[in-house]
Amino acid sequence: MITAAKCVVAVLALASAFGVAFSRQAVHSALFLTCNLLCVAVLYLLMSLHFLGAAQLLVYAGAIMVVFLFAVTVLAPEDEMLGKWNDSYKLTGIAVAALLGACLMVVNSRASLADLAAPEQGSLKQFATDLFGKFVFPFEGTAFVLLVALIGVVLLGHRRLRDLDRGGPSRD
Amino acid sequence: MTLEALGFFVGVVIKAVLFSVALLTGFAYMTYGERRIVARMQWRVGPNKVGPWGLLQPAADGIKLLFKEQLQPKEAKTFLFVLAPMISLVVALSAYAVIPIDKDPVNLFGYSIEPWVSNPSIAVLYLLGISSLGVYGIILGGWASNNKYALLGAIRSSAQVISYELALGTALVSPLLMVGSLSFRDVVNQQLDHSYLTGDGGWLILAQPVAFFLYWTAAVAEVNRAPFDLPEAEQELGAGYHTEYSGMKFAMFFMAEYVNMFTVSSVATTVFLGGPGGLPVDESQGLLFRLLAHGPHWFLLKVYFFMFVFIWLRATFPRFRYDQLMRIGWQFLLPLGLINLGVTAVGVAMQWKSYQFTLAVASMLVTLIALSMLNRKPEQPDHH
Repeated sequence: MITAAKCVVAVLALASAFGVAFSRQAVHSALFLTCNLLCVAVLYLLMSLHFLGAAQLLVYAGAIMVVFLFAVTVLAPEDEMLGKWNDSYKLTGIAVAALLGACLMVVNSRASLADLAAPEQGSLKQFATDLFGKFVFPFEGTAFVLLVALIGVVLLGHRRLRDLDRGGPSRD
Repeated sequence: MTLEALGFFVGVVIKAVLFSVALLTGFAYMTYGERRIVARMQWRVGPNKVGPWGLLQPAADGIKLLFKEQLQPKEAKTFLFVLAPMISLVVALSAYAVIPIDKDPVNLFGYSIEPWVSNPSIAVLYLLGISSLGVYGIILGGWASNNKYALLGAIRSSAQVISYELALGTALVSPLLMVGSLSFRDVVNQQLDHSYLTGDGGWLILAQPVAFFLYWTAAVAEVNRAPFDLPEAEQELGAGYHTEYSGMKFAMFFMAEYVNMFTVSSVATTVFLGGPGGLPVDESQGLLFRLLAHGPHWFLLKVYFFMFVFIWLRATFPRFRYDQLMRIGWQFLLPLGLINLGVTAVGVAMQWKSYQFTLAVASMLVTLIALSMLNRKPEQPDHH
């Protein structure tokens, strides 16, 4: 029963992933990506990884994709990108996809999936203990990297805004 | 599939249908109640012609909306235009699945009936995650309408919802930290079973008044209600994201808004007001005492109190300006929530009793008010 549900959701996730790549309109791509993220969240839930599923829902589908969609609907990027798509973009895309696929295959062949057995129902405490105990340094490190990215964005955006205020050309 | 699993499945479906019907009926009569109450507050009468005291007004409205012509702008994106109100409504209804309307399972005809659809260990996260999806309906509706006012309303709404979600989450963390669980059932049980003076129980609004204030403010902003209803500011934007919607599609947006109001009221009730808890009596002394101690009627009473507050706020406060809205969210609610969280974390680490939390939060408030008064700039005389 669970396995069947997993298969259906996995196929949906795959289909929506293709939808992201092959949609003509940016808004449809963004919606397919949302659908894909939701499918992955459901997969997590089916594997009893409750916290991960909820975090996926909350962070990616609920916050990040909303900002994506926001930008796509307001800026209408297809108007800007019109006529700019050429073979070099496609080649780059295929190269990146191949690289990612190779990485995934290497990781997949080395990882032992036995560790991923379904945890107990109330796994939240265990998860929190691991996150803030065993993995506290990687966790804080990731937080630090995100903070650096945040400051970078503020700095870059701020400079561009200041130039626009002066009426001068943007530096980038 | 075993028989037991099938029974569980059927039970969940029946409960989900019952909850949905209850919420939608509640929505219909909230529109009536809102019109009557706002009318009373504005020295008017309100709808009183259809049926006794106008009680059949929602039915008349529903029939009107069902048979109304479905208008759609020529340049609108049809698929997304139809999908958007459905997303709003489905998301709003499914958020309600994790809210318990009573404390313990009820034994009825030999069956143990649980008064909640589902009780996952991550209930709060599920609710926040699902309700954060509601903004998709608004963005897509505004964009697919191909109308600049609708799009402006959608943009305002998404910016507002994203900003206030942070304050909302921060406000909820403090009481949940005291409980030490993300399950609504644990939250209710701790409030009802433990003592306020000698333990870590009691209604959490007593121990966390600042968190309650923050939660309620952010929640009003989250559901786009007055005084935070900039996404549908009539004077500026027509009706915001649902300008182009008519008939049943408009009604779905309308339903979603009211169901969201019910959801945030229910969360406020569950987390801060002891959920289905009533008077502090011994429930083992008979049915009457059991009903006095806790039950769905207490839960409904508190939820409808919060719904009344929604209407009251709408009739009382003028709308905020957009820069005021953003400043309140980012420069007032969020920092206050973080300070409150810090105080709560210290208290949890030192295993304070509930009343000690109240004292600590009160002294935090006094300190902050004193600091802000010291920090105030002297008034500048006007030079025009």
